[in-house]
Amino acid sequence: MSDIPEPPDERSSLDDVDELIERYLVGNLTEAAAERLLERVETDPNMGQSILEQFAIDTMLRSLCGARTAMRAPISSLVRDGGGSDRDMTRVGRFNRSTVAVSAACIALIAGAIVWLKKPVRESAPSDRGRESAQSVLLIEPTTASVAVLARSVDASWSDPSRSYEVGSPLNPGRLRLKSGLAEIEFFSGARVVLEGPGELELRSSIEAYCSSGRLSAEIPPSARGFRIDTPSGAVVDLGTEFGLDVTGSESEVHVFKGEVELHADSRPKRSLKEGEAAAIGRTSSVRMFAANPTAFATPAVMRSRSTESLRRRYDAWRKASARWNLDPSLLVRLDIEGLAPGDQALANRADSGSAIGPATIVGCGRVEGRWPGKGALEFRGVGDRVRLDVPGDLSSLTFAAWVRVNGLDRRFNSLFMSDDFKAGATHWQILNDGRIRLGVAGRNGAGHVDYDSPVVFTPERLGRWVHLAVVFDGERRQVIHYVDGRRVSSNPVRKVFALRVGAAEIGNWSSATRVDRSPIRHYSGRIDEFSFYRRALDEGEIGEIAGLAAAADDS
Amino acid sequence: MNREETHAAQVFMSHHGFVMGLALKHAPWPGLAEDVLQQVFLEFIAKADRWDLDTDPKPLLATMTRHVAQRYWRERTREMPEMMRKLADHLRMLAEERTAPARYEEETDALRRCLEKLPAKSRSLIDMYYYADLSTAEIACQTGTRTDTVCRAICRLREKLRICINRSTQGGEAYV
Repeated sequence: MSDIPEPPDERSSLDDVDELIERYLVGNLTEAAAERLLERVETDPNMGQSILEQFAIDTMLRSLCGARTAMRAPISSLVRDGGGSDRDMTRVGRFNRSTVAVSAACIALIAGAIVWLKKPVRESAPSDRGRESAQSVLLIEPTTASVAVLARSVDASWSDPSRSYEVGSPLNPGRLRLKSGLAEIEFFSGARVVLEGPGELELRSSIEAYCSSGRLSAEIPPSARGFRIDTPSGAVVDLGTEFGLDVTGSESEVHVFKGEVELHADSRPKRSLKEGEAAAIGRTSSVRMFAANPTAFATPAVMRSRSTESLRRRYDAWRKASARWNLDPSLLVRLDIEGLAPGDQALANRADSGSAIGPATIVGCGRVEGRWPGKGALEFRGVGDRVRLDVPGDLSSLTFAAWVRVNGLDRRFNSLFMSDDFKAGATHWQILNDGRIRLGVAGRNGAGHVDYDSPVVFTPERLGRWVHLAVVFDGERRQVIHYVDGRRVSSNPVRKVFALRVGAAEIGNWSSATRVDRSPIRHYSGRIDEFSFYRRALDEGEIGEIAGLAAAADDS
Repeated sequence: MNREETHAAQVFMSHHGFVMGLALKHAPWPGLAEDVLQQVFLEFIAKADRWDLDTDPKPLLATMTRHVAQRYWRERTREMPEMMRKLADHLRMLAEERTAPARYEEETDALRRCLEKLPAKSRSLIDMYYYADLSTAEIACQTGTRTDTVCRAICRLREKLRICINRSTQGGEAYV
């Protein structure tokens, strides 16, 4: 599977399966040996089972005999990548018999661990000493510290350039510094706050925040009654209401639009403020009362209206750009998923040069809303949902790009765009269930297949949000580049050069009826509202353009 | 250790084979299963007062083991070079696809019986490799053979032990 040459003295040992297995068991595999063993395992299903059997017996023998490998060392230190021969099979860090006599049994090992590690464990034990059911205590499950989510934004610019808040981003406790624009924050308690820039809001919990400067409005549903915002000169505690807050220097103004709030001014008794009333509180001066002015604040209703207008502008801009993109002579397929009537099966290919390919065919799939109100998208939910198309011919380079909103990574492999077969240069673009994106290229001319993986892209925060994905196979520069939201996330050298092909293929699924495979069900779960396929390698600027324009829409 | 922790430790000890079997299934990489076993033990003890130890702890231990194994697997494979990671992932997929229940404890008992039946020459090889912790090269040097011959011999020996274990756990006689 690799063009990387092995050192001459290692080559012969890599042909010996027993030696490869031994290397695996003692933690002494080189990258070349791992590749060779993987080839063996992939081509011979019995080989994998055999290795697992050897592994199990080896573990039991070590447990019985008191020996153990010291694999707690970083794996990188155990890898001798492409270096000299490993034929001596030195066990990495194995203890000899005399040093492990006391750990001859697993129980003894564990008992030792009690003493050794008891203190840190007790220190990390949670303070809640209540008895919980066995199933409810899995503190090792991934958790989130978020207290709110960024629900909308209009022309928002944040002061900290290293922090990027996108719509849908979960927000952890901490300070938000909005330079300009509007940001709507939905607390997990249900409270909704619109912050106007410039302004600074510190999220403390799902029912508590601190505003040091700026203007905001809040809508508090009954579920969030008691929601509190502190300021330098006092605090506002909600009693089920809508209010505005303007913090400038040492003075804060509170305007009640609906319902009632409690005002807790420093060193003064609390007082209630009712609908239509406003108060200004300073650190030292007395409370000054006046009439509330709702028009001075961007309320959530105003925010929604502005957001809708902003989205419409983005949508219009995308449509104009689309007309230009469609004229690119290297564009083979462009499915914008627009103008679909209910029941339509034919999905127009808007690429000007794609007439030979023709329309795609929708099988199943729901017709739903895309990135913007009125924009079409397809929803892939069932195992049968897919879009079929046929792209004949060989290619030396290609680019796939799509706007996706992933619901979840339900399958081991979640198809984005897959050739029906996987031989002779066929391509498989998919998301792995650990969040990596993979472009797999089937072997050709005697070469084995190669997978080009991105790092983990789909962490929980990215699920349920529109994300632009692109992958470029650049045959000329011999590199495969993965992009996310227009930014390069990985670049891998092309390891084998041969012509690529797509042929009969599917978006969002994979036809496996004629194929026996370990993971035959690879349907995608989520929405897709645009798909493009170029027969050349797009550069970073071009990817940024097709992603960036719409990415900005996501800010609205 | 307080009383609850002691009780939890006893419960765990009586199920450590069960946990180890699952750890081997979910983290089939040398050394990792032992790490998972220890971590599950520590987490189990740390929350000793939360468990209802009068009920069957296997569902809890199974869930804990799966989660710890997943976590450790992510941490370990993240550091691996590409091919190594792919091999590891592939082996884990194969291990998790196995439908046979993990019977680590039962099989370890059977292995003990099988070891007793080993011919002297095979037993000597086990002693050198697993007890004396000699490398295959050192064994080859001592026995005047080649390293690859030693590797093959150890692999064949493990295969024979597997057959013996299977026979023994199915009610047959343990012989190699």
